[in-house]
Amino acid sequence: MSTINAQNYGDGTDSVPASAVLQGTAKAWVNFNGTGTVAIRESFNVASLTDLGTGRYSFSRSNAFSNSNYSSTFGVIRQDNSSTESSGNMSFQSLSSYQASSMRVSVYDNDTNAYRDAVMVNVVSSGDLA
Amino acid sequence: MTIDYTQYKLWEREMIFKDQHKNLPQGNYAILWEDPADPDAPAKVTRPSPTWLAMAMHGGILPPVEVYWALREDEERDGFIRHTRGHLLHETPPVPAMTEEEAMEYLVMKDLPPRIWRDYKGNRSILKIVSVELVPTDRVHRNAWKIKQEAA
Repeated sequence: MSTINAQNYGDGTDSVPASAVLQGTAKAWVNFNGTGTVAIRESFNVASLTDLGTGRYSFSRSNAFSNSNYSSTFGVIRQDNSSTESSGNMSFQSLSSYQASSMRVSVYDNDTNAYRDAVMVNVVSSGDLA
Repeated sequence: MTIDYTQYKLWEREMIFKDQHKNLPQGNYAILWEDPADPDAPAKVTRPSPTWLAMAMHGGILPPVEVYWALREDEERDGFIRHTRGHLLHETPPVPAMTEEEAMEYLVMKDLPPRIWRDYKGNRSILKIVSVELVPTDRVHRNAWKIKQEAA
């Protein structure tokens, strides 16, 4: 069996580095710390993160989606080194600002019925890019 | 090897850039801002992603900020269904390398509403670019944060 070696793969119009094919990728993703001074740990196709208040965040795209009908999934860890508190009774709310070039997420603690900062928030989005 | 990013779409450029640059540092600055359209809301804190900031400082990757204004205008139009000018992101000649301070100013104009950085005529300071160290890390009373006004 032979192996094709190439740095980039393309179809004549679009191309991606080999790592995108071999490792796979979403159209946009972000892992950020929502406590203290908020900070993006790592991301793809996310330009900035905005701390809107306790447990509420928005982020913008580098490359907008073609419309606001893209799909996103979320995950959250509330505190460092706390397996008992991971995700737990948390939910995401207030996705009203779900736009092609930005989106807003809120972390809500159903135990205390209040927004709550989370040490790790993960959002992965798929859809057609503009 | 020098990569000519202009031959790639914007999202491809980021993918290639990420592939070539690992463990990028956090930026040194944050944008503090208040929204005059929502005076009771707390001050907001905006920070760039390390990848975006590194691309801005690298140059030859990001489109001029006017491209984002064009897309924002389309998105805010009644009846917006989908972007038809997305090609501007990929085909407009990219901007050259910026300093970190210039990148933060670009980010203000890209991601904050124009009513914050262009149209506001009030007396309060509602927008500041500050060193990250000046942003409180203690989030007690986070929902009451306001930008400290300079003494008259």
